[in-house]
Amino acid sequence: MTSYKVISELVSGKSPGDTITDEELEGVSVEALIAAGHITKTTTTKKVEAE
Amino acid sequence: MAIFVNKDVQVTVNSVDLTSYVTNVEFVQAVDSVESTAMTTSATGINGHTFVGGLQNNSCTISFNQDFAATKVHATLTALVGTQTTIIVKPTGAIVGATNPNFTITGAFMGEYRPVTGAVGDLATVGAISFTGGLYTAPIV
Repeated sequence: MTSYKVISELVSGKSPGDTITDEELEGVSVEALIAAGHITKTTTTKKVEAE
Repeated sequence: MAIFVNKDVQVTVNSVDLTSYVTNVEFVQAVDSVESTAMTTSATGINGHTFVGGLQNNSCTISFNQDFAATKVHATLTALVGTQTTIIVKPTGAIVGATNPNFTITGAFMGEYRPVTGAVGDLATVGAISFTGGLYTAPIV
């Protein structure tokens, strides 16, 4: 499941800073939402274990 | 719910709430009429065409006030040209229910966008945008 961060105030039912999943975006053009600046892909950082 | 005047029709395009920019909306639920008229055994047996329902032929045409600011009308719509998306239209801002159904078309295609329209002195608007095709979803009742 892919998650996105909401970065505009116009995404239906969401506020800036909220997370939205691809399940919630079914039937929606995710590429268009990203291109328009409404959402951005969330990046996950892996913790590197010290040797 | 009694009769009412359109004041707060809610319009969501590609999960983006563009309600505050919408000036006109027309949601059409339609099915193609496929002719099925056939010969009969008697010359007086038929005096009119007969049809059966074909494919869904839904559409939604929306007019907007233009806004070129980031993430507003222009940014949202120009990214949708040539794509399929979901359109949701709700008669009022109240909670969805039997008296306030949400009309939905999934897979609606946007083939054209007119970012600049109007004459001198006019409010800057977006030419009426038509979303065509797709599957109509029955409102929640």
